[in-house]
Amino acid sequence: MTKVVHKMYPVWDLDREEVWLNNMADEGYILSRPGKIRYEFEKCEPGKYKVKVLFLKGMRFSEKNEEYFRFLSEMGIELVGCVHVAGFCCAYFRFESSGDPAELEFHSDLDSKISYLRRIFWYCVFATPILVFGAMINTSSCLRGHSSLRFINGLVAGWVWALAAACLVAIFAMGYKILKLKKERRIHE
Amino acid sequence: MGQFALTEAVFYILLSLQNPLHGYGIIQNVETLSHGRVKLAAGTLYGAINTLLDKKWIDALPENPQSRKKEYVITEAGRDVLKEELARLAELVENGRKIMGEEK
Repeated sequence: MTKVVHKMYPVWDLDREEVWLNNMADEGYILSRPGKIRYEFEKCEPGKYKVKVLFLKGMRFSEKNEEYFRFLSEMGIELVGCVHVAGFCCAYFRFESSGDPAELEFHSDLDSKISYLRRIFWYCVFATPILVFGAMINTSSCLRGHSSLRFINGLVAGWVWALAAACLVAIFAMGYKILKLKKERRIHE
Repeated sequence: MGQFALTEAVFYILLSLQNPLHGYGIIQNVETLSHGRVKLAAGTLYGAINTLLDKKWIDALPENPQSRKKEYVITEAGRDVLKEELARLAELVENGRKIMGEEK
């Protein structure tokens, strides 16, 4: 029996998305098909599985990603599916929980943590102006357009402005995190 | 090559690959060697393995159709690097002990 939930998480909120997916697994629903806004779950033994979300360069079937997925599958980490976002892909994995609190950490050293965060950081840096541009177009349509469409344009504009603001906040938060890790990297590995 | 320290992950991976091992085997071996202190995460291990393959410090063995798991083994170049690193670490430990006045 599958359960379908509609939800949307932007790229900078992958951590929260992962927490949600793991809460679902703890409640007995394991992700079986991810989507941009539509998630399918299968019934499972509560707490048996963990879910990991990774933001990767390139498409699902790029040679590099295929190689990585194969490597992970050798460790019992199964790829559930990928969602593509502008040349990148969010890959969703599931694996049996060992009970180790560190099992959701896919990067155990500072260097790989930094380079992973940087990837999301630069994605957001490029996404912000695009979002702002989209918000401006909708705002101007709202101010000058036909009365019937003004309401919809206004709603979309408000939503895209909110998204752009959230993206900007995420850039600063991530930038701060990267700087902190880099400072740490000067003395630790 | 000599003046740069190896990362802990690389050091332990090279040490583990004296005999052929696959990815998960490396993680388990490193955990055993370090008495549970070093737990390599999958992403970190994958990145390190690819860099080591590029540097030719390790080799990927031809695939075994039975296990379908890729195995890796250290090369001569890798062994040389490991020896150099061991000498560097020995110097650190020796100086540390001398100055801190601790014996073993």
